[in-house]
Amino acid sequence: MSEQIMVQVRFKEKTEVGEYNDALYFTQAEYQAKSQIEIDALKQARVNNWVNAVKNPPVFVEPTKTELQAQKAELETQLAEVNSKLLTAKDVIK
Amino acid sequence: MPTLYAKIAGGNWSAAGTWSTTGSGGADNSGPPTSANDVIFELGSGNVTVDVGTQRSAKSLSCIAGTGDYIGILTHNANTLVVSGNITFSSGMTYTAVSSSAIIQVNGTGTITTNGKLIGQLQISGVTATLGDNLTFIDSKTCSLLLGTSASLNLNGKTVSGNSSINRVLLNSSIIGTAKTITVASGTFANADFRDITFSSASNLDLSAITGLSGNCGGNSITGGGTVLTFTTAVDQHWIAATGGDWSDVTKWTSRVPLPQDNVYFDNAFSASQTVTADMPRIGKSIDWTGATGTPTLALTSTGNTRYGSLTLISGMTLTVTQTQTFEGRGSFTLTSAGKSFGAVTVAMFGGTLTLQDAYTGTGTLTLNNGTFIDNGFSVSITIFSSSNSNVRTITKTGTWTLTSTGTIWTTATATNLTLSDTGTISITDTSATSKTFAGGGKTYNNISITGGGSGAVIFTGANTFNKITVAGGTKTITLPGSTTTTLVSGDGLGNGTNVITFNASAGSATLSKTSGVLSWDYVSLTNIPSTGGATFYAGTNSTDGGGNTGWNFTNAPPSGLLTTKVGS
Repeated sequence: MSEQIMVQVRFKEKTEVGEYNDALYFTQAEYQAKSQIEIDALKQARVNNWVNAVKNPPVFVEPTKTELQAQKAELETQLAEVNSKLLTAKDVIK
Repeated sequence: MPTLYAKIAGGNWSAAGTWSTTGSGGADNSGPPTSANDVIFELGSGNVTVDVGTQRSAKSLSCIAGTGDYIGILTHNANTLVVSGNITFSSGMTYTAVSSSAIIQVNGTGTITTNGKLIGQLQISGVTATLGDNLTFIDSKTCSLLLGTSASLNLNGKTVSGNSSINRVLLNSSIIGTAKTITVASGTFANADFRDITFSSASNLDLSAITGLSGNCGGNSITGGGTVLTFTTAVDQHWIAATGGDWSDVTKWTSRVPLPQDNVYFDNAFSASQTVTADMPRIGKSIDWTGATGTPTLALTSTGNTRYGSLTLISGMTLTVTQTQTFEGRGSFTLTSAGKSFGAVTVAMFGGTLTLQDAYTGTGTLTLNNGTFIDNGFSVSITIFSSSNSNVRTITKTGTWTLTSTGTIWTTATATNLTLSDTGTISITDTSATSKTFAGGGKTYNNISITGGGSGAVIFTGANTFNKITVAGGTKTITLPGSTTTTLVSGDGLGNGTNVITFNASAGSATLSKTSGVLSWDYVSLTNIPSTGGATFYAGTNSTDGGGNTGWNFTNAPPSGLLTTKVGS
């Protein structure tokens, strides 16, 4: 399949949490169909989302009992993997 | 050490009462088998479960010895059963591997005879294992045959089979980029993917002709006389349905569920509210959503997904992520996020390069295990960055990387074989009471920007070099590594205004070095931060000398252009 030529709109903006560098991509048809106002709105949405992501990083939430049980099962699986890797490491040391 | 027999009553592998030294009807043994005990399941032995917990062991495992062939049920839960010799299942028994986390590990030279029982995962460690008969895996998308350090496999004329053309088994090396040998010896494969495998074969190997499909995940070669290694031919796969569905649904694709060598295109018109769920662990080479309409959702929520090329998302789609996403391509590939946020992402591109095409945002750790990561000047916002290993890898960083989490937010603590080219900025933004550790591994960084406020210190480890450190927005404590020299290139102020920045040492003294010129700070509190190098160090008249700060002048730096003399405290 031939590669599609895309229009790149690269932009940067100074924000309260630092400078943001990003780019929008459009097919030529999409780009021609968009007004500058629409493109600016897309840029602003990206900036706003980024500022929000930086200012509101994931917060720790106490897990439920069900989630803890799932974590336990997952850890048991990981333990099996770690035990295997431990043996591999022992091979290296031998 | 004595041979142990599984007793009539059976039980958990870890229970002493499951075993006897005299036969299935004998008295309880004092403990479960160790790597020194040969283990026998005989005709009278009951059902046994390889229970979870610490790994279970045996010197060898035979189900065809003693009073007669074993006819019970051996259930293998998510745990590793390590066997140091032969493994022989009987034809009349039942072996149930509950998942691909039911691991049989062979770490002693031996022969594996499964008598048609389906295996979850086989690991070979440090030895050459030989197949006694055909080896087939359970109906799972995550089955694998892993060749560990110094391990190899001799097919011995037998066949290794994945369960189906969709649920293929992955035969791979435990170390990306370090190939392990499989001696074909008239054997073959069915429905299998391969990564970092050297096939020893006297003749050319056409894996496109095997039963089902063969996937090429990279790093595979042929030796031993054969010179041509052929996998199933790559075919572009397009999502051809207007509806969403599972990645593993063959009816949604041009001709098959994508193999690791197939490029994948979503360039179709979706109906409203459609979700494509990536339920395959290996989802294809390059994945491109350009041209998709209908605002579909890509759900990376079913299993961890690895792609072997680029990923191109579009604005007109939704991305939901809960599983780790891995890039393993070995060429030059790109990531276009289109404003979508990722979770944990791992770059394990041996000899390859991943170049950002736009800003990258992640709510999980960005891990670089192998290859080159180029930010291309775009913003990177992540919770944690991790690249602490000895694999060959390069970070080319010209944009701003914002680290939003607490704890160890950056680790290149083991920086062996790491090339860092940094002309950008690392921004540490958390202002909570929890500390943030930047384990720089002694590399040279450009600018560090720290958001002031909050009692949680920013802790540096490693003999790092920074062009400039700035702190804005409030007071902050910065802990420099004790008995280690941190080097600053720029003598500019911290940009902290009148907010006092406290510098202390993690232990003893933490030396700050600047080789020439003037370092001009103010409103700092220094304790056990001796200075060194050819520069003149001014802490500023509004700063506090907490002691142990040799080489500092607690005065303001003279206006630039005036001659200075180093006075020292």
